[in-house]
Amino acid sequence: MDAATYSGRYSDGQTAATRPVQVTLAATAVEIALVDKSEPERWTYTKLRAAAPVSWRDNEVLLRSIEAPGATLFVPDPGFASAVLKHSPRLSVSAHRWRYAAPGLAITAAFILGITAIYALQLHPAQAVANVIPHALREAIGRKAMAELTGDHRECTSAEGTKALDTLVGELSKASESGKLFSVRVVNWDLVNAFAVPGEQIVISGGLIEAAKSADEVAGVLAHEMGHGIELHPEAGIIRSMGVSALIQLLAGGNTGSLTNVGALLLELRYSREAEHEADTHALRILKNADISPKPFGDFFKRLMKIESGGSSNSDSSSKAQSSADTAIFSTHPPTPERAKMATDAATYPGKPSLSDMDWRALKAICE
Amino acid sequence: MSDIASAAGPATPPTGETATISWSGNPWSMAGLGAINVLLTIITLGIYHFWAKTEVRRRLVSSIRVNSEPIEYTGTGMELFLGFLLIFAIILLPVLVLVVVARLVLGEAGAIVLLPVYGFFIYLWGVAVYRARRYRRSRLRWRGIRGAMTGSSWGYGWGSLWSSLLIGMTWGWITPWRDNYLHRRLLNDTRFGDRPFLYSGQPGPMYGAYALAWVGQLVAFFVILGIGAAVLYPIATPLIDAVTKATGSEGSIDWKSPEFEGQWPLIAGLIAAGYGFLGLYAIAWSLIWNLFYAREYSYFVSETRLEGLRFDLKVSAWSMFWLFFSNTLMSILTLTILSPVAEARVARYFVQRLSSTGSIDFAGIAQSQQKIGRTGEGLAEAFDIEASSYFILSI
Repeated sequence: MDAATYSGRYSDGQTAATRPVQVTLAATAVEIALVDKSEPERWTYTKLRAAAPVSWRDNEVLLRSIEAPGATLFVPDPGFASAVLKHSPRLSVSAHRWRYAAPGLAITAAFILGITAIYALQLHPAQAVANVIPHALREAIGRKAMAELTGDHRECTSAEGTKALDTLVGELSKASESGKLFSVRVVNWDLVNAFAVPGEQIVISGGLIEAAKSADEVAGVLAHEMGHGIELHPEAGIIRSMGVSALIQLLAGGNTGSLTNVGALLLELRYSREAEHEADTHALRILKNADISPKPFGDFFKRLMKIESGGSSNSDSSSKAQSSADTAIFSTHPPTPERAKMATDAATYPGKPSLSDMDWRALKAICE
Repeated sequence: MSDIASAAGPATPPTGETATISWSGNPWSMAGLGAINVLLTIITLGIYHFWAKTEVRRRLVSSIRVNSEPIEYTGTGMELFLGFLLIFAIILLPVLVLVVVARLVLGEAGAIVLLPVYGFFIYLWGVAVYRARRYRRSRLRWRGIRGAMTGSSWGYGWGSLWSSLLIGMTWGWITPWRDNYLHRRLLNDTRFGDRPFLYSGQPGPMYGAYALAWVGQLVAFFVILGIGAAVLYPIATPLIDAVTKATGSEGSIDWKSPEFEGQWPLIAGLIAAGYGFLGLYAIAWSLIWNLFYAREYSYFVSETRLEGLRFDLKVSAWSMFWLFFSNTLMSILTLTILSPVAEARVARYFVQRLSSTGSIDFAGIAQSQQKIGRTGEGLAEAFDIEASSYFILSI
C-alpha cells in the first residue's frame, strides 16, 4: 500500500483553531495523526466530502467527513489530490458532475413523464379544477368575459325578439336536464359566431341568426353551446391556458407576467375534437328532449362548410361576399362532415318547430 | 506560515493570529463549467439552474483563502430548488391566483389588487435579501466554523421598505444614509462562529462622494448633450430644411415628399450618432456612479471589525467600472456561458483588494449555535437577487 504521508492542517469544528497534522492514505481511510492522541483519526474514503470537485492536477484539497461533523482537513500538497482520488473516486470532477446533474435530470424526466401521462391517460387537470370553482365565481368571470367579448358592439334587445329568444332558451334549458338556467345574449356582429362563456352564459352573433334559415338551426347551435356550458369547457379552457402560462413562468424562474384580456382568450380558445363531440352529444340529447329535429342543425353545418370552401355551389352574390368575413365560427367550432353527418343521422324523428313563424320572424329582427 | 509556527500543539492554543486574505486560482478555469452549466440547464428545462449556481459558488468560494486555508461553501442545489418550490407554492402561486381572479372578475379594474401586491413584493424584497444572506452565511465555513445571521428578516424587510419610500422623495439623497442603515443592520447581525461582526459606520463620510456623483451625472448629461448638438446640428441642417418644407399646413410631415430624396443615409447616420451619444452618456453615468460605490464599499469595509481585526478595501471607480463593463460585455457576447468567469473575476477583484490589520484569537472562536435552515433562498430566487459583490464583500 502507498504509505506516503502528507502534511496538512486540521480543525476540529469546535473552534477556529488549526493544527499541523500528518496525513496517511491507508487502505480504507484517510488517517490523521493528532499530537494529543495516540490513535490517528480515521476518515473512511466513502464518507469523504470535498469543498470543491477534486481534479488530479489540484495542488490543494480541503476535505471533511460525515463521520466527523464540523472537522476539516486541508492538505496543500501537490501529490495528495491524485493519490486521494485513487481511493475515493467519488470526489472527482466527473463523479461530482453526475451527482449534480442527476436530481435535475430526474426531476425533468418525472415532469415530462407526468405531462405525457396526462395526455396518454386523457386526464383533464384543468377540467378537474373547473369543477371545484364556486358557481358565483364562474358567473362573475363569465359576466366580465361577456363584457369584454361584446366590447363596443351593441347588444340586440328588441322586445319581441328577446321574448322569442327567452322562450327558446327556456325550453332548451329545461330539455338539457342539467338543472342549469342558461342566459343567452345576441350581439350585433356581422360574423357568424357563437361562444359559451363561463357561468352558463352564451353569446351568439346577429350574423349567425341572419345566416340561419330556421329557428331549428339556431336551436341546434344553442344546444351545442349549452353542451359546452354543461361540461364547463370554457372554464376549463381559461384554466388550461393560464395553467400553461403559470408553468412557463415557473420554469422561467417565476416572473409574473401580464394577463391578456379574458374575452380575447375565449375568442382564441380551440376546443378539442373530443370536447366538440361531447357538446354535440349534449346538443342532440337536448334537441331530442325538446322534440326538435336535429336535421336543420346538420344542414346548417353543411351550409357553413360550403361558405368556407368558397360558396362555389351558391351563386347568391350576398353569401359570396360574406364568405371570407363570416367564417369566425370555423376557428372556434370547426364544422366537419362527421359532425354534420352525426346530426343528420340523429334525425330519426320528425320533431316540432322550435318557434312559431311569428316568433322566428321576431328573433330574426332582434338586431333591428 | 506564521500560524503554523505558533500552533505548536493543542496545549498552547495560538493567540493573536493575523488574518491574510488572498485569492487562489484563475477565473478563466471556470469557462468550461459555464458551458456545461448552460447545456445542462437547457436539457433540464431550467431546473439545473440551482445546481449550476451552487457549483459556481463552491468553486468560487474555495478560491478565497484566509491564512492560506480555503473557505468552503456547503450549500446544495437541492436546498435552493426546494426553497424555490416552497416560495412558489406559498407566495407566488397564491398571489398569481389572486391577480388572475381579480383580473377575470373585475377586468381592467382588477389592476387595483396589483397595488398592494407590489407593496407586498417590495417588502418581500428586503426579506429576501436578508434570508438569502442568512442562508449563504450558514453555508460558508472556514476551518469548519460557520457564519450565521442572528436577526429577523421580517424586521429588515420593513426597514428596507420604509426607507425605499424616501428615495424618490429626496431625489436619491437619502441613499448614503439608507445604504449605511441597511448595511449596519445586516453586518451587526452577522456572526463568524459565536463572534459578531461590528459595523460602526456613519452616513456622513459617504455624502461627499454621493454629491460628486449626483452633480457629476447632471454635468455629464449637459456636456454630452452640448457636444452632441454642436457636432450633429451642422450636419443635420439640410435635413431640418427638408422637414420644414415637407411639413404640411396641418403640421403633419409628408415623409414621401421629394425633399427627402437622397437624405435617407443622413437620417440613418444621425439616428446611429444619437444612439452613440446615448451610449456615451450611459458609460459616463456608470463611471460617475462608481465613484460613489467605490467610496461606499471601501468605507463599509473600513468600519468593519471582527474581534481584533480591522479591514481595508482598496477599490477605485475606474477599475470597478472596467470590471463590471467588461463582465457585462463578456456575459452578453457569450450568451451567459462565461458568466461564471465574470463572477470569479468580481470575487477575485474584491478579495485581492481586501486586507486586514490587527489580530484575532481564532482558537477562542467557537462554532455557531444558530440553527441551520433546510431550504435555501427561495425568495431571493423568486426575485433573482444577485448581489455577488455584496456577497463577497461581507464574508
